[in-house]
Amino acid sequence: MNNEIELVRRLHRDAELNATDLVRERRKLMTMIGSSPNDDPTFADALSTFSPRVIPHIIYDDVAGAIDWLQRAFGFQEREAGRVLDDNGAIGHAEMQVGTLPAHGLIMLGPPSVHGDSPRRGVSAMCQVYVADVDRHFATAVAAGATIAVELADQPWGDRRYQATDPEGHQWHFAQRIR
Amino acid sequence: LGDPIGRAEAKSKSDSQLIALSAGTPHIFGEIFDRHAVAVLRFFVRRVGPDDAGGLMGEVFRIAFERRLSYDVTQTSALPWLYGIAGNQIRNHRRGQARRLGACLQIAIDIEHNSEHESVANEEALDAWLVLPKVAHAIDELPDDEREALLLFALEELAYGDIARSLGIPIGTVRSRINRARMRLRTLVPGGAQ
Repeated sequence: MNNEIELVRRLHRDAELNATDLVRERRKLMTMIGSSPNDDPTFADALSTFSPRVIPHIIYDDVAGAIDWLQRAFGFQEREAGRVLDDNGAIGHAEMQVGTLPAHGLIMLGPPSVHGDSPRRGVSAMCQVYVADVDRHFATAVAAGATIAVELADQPWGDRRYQATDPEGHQWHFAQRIR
Repeated sequence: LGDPIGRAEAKSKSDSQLIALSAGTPHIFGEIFDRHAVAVLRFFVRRVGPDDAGGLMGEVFRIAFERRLSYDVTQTSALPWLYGIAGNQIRNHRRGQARRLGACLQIAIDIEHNSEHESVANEEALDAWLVLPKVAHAIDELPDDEREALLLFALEELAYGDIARSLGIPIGTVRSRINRARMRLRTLVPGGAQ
């Protein structure tokens, strides 16, 4: 019977590990040792455990508005450290995450740039996101004014999902595993 | 670049071999950091929260580097050794400040609240949720030696032998400390022994 061990684990579940801690402390250690810190493949591997390996980069004309809306409607949280302002003080780059760790899922947002704009300013891709409670997520999105492109329903492969259109026309697909 | 041992070669060696080599070639010790820094950082995040964890983790490796000549090279993995140093850091850290379980609990609550993988929708989860503050308090009230052994078992998932190495105590003592700690906590578990 392992219940009390499970509770201990829940209580101490990891907060976000900070990759900059690793970089800084390694540099200090190597300085103390008297070696020059250089790029290190093993270390890069360690850092990669903090980052998803696929990151959608989504283009918005109104990035600030998108951040606000994606938080209210879809529950994304902005990573403050990810925000970059351009010379005019507008948001040139932003990052939002879907869980408690970036590894759970991260999106990057930016204005039209070298990174993209749809060739015809139409929809060219869709982001799929798994959430814990898709019914509640659906209700929140509808209340925030999301247009529902495909109604919430159980799917034969074990997902319950819906598809929504955000204010600038991006397609979002939210699903929960139900079996 | 004049290194007597290359990076690829370093990767094929055990921790104990690398530590032995680092006596004459100190920068080899960087490989020990690369292998175990994430585990040691996690150790501290779980116990003191994310704000202080990075600095404490770095200190463990600086202390370990200074003590590398006294490393027991019959021990293949350095991780229990590093956890042992980390445990001493925790004791020093705790002496310097008020009990910090409140902070840890807040992390747990935030994570539960935001968690992608669980919701408190079902009754069982809710029961566990309500009991968490009591468990936090009970862990805080455990004798230091029992708490250390229990957390190495529950969080780092070390085998009893590795816990014994980390704490520098016999394996039988590890077993009895963990059993005592579990008995104390079990009374709090819904459906557990009364």
